[in-house]
Amino acid sequence: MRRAELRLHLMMCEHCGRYKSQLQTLARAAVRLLDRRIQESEDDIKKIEEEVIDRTKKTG
Amino acid sequence: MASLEQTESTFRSDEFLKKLRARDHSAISELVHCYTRQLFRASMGMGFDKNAANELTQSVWATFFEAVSKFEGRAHVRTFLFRILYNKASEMRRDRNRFDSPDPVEEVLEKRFSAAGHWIKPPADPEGFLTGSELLGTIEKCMERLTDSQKMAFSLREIEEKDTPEICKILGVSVTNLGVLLYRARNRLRECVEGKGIRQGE
Repeated sequence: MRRAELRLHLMMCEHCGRYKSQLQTLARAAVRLLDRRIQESEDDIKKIEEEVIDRTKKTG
Repeated sequence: MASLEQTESTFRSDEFLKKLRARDHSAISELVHCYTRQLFRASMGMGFDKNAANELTQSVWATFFEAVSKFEGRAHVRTFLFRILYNKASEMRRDRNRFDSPDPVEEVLEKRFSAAGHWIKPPADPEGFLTGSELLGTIEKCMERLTDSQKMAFSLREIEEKDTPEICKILGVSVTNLGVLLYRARNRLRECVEGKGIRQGE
């Protein structure tokens, strides 16, 4: 019963809706941040791939 | 060109696993090209810098190829790789025991509500919540305050968009525990960003 009340509250409450939107906005911003950092690291990623493949060839 | 989904489906096949165990170079190459970026990205999502993410990713592959002869394919190879990543990351930070510790963010959240259960200080408009040129830097600093398991849970769900059963397998936690980790991670991040004073209008 309490859970049903809580769900109803969360559906209706403007403040809770904003709070949830803030969390979603933060998550999107974190993804953007990481995308930017990954773009700057493309060369490093390629280098790791080459090194890992070379190493497995050498060790058979 | 095959989609990621199709490629990952191939990785499940007995034939592919046999090739991997036999150290077939084309199979290894395909796997390394498919997951190195994801592993590197997840490492950075956990707050490691470029050098540490590099070291971590290389270390995951080294462990994977040491263990691949014993890999039976009960889980997807991707899950196996991320599980190694999580263990390596935890080793690197030596904070395995921080997982179950109480999190002060819950007390902070409780203070936002009155005894009647109403918001004392309602949240700001989401559009105005995150503004300013220093935003991404602030988020980066706030991410550092999360524990490794929180960072990993947040990164796997929000950044890598993995589903609940797979994240639970990677982290070795129940669905309930994952819910707690994500709840704490999101709220801790939010409280930290708000505390840095970059929110506007309330």
